[in-house]
Order: sequence, then structure tokens, then C-alpha cells
Amino acid sequence: MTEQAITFQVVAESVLKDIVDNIVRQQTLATFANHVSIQQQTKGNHESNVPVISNFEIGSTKDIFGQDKTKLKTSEASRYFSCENCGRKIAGGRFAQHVNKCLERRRR
Amino acid sequence: MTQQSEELDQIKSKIQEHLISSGNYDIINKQLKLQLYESGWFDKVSQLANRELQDNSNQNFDQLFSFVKPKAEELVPQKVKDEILEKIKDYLEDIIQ
Repeated sequence: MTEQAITFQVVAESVLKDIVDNIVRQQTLATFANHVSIQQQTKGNHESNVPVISNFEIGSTKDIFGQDKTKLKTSEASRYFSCENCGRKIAGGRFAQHVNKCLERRRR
Repeated sequence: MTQQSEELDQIKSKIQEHLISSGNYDIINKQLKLQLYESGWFDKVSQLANRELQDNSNQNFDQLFSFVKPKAEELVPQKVKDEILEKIKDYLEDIIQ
């Protein structure tokens, strides 16, 4: 019966085993988290033929924040802002352009 | 036998403290990771974990880990093990009077 003497070899092997353990744990955790997040993004019942349109897919009407894409343009256009320069009220979509020109005109 | 393993644990924990505080643990860790990466070990282990997850995707982390761990340990190439063991032994010789 051989008892394991506490030699350098034994200690070193045990240390190595611990280090390898940690690395393996890190790696499987990363792989696992990756897998779970991919699962969540491609949600839906893959077996049936019902398409689940999430925000990310092509043909979706929502942008990545969940806002309706068609409503974005109209909400832009319906708000008026007053120009600090000339005091006029300008529509949302045209505002930047107007301010650009306006500041040029006044400066001369 | 148990007395020896207790002693072993004590010695080990002292050594580990020393190892970490001297910064050596990081050096050895990084080298080990680099060698494992170059030998393709990381890829094999990720593949293994992914395949296992695909087969039964209802596993939680612990189950997956306890499955993958022994195989991953086996997969470490002997050459890498020996090199790192050498490094650890050198370090031990330095700090143990």
C-alpha cells in the first residue's frame, strides 16, 4: 500500500487541478450564458409554422425600442418648435434645416 | 489517510494565498489559458457544451457543468499539463524554505 507522500508533485498537481477547474467553470459559464441569451432572442415555437415577429426580424413594424415605425415619422411632423432666431414656429422635420439657414442669414 | 489530506489542505491553502498575492497565480493562469487556446482546447470544450445544451436544453448551469467538467479535464493535453506543473513546482521550490 503506497501512501501519497506530500511531495511537490502532489501539491503541484492539486494546484493545477484547481486552476483547470476554474478555467473550465468560466468557459462553461460563458458558453451557457451565450446559449441562453440566443434562446431568448429567437423565441417562439419552432415546431409549429406560426411566425413570431419580434422586433428584430425583417418585416417587423417596430424599431428596436418597440416603437411603431410608421408612427415615428408622423409624430415628428406634428410637433412644432419655435426658432430662437426668428421666432417662427417650424415643423419638426424641417427644424434643423431652417435653423441652419436662419443662422446664416442673421449673421450677415 | 485523512490526517494527511487535512495537512495537505492546510499546506495548499497557505500556498494558494501566497500564490495569489505574489501575482504568480495570474501569470500561471494566463499561460495555461494561452496554451489551452493554442491547442484548440477551448474550441473543443465550447463545442461539447453547446452540443450538450442543444440535446437537452432544459439543463441549468450546474447540471451542464458537472457533465462537462470531467471530460474537459481529460481533454487537457498531457504536454500542457506537464509544462504548467513544472512552472508550479519551480514556484513552490522558491517559496518553500
